[in-house]
Amino acid sequence: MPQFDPAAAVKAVLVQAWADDHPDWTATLHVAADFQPVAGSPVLLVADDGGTTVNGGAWLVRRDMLRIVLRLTAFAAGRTEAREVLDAAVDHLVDNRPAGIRIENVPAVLDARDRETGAFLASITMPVIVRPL
Amino acid sequence: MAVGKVRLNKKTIGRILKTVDGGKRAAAQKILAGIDDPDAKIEVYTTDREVVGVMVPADRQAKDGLATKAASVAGVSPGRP
Repeated sequence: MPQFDPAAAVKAVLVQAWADDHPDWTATLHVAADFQPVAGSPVLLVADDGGTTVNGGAWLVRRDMLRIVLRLTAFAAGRTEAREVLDAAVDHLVDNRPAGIRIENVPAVLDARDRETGAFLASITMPVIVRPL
Repeated sequence: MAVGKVRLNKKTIGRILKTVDGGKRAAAQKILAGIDDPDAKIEVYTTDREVVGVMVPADRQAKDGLATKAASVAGVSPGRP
């Protein structure tokens, strides 16, 4: 049985939410290596940074819950825009949690600027508990 | 029923938190070993306890999840409260 892909589930929720509300915003699972920020068209990356099993033990192989860190990073032309997109995404996820995912915590936003492209980044590493399929 | 009174020796507990390593340095070294960046380093500082931090450039953490991924590979979940 395949393992549940929490990043894909989160991305699907955001794509659906933004289709009407924010058609210029993009949620994606990968950002192109030569990505260039365009004002008004921010991109939100949903990435899976891996994690550990919750209980562990041979009797729970493939049936254990997983403690996974999801990373949401907004790429935008401006700092305010990046943070706005990230905030909107997290707010929506907390209110419309995808099935099988429990959000454990929403820590502080990490602000950064991409040295290669100049894009402003706003990032959150969000621990979640994922239920097995 | 008589209720016993427990008083924590906060001064001593504080001293233990500030002086005992408890495997922090070994865990931080393990995480650092999995990070491929010349600017990554370990920083030891003290708040109300001694902290061993793995530092990476902020943009590489935001873009590639450098620190969180290395922690996951080392079996340390950054999500553990």
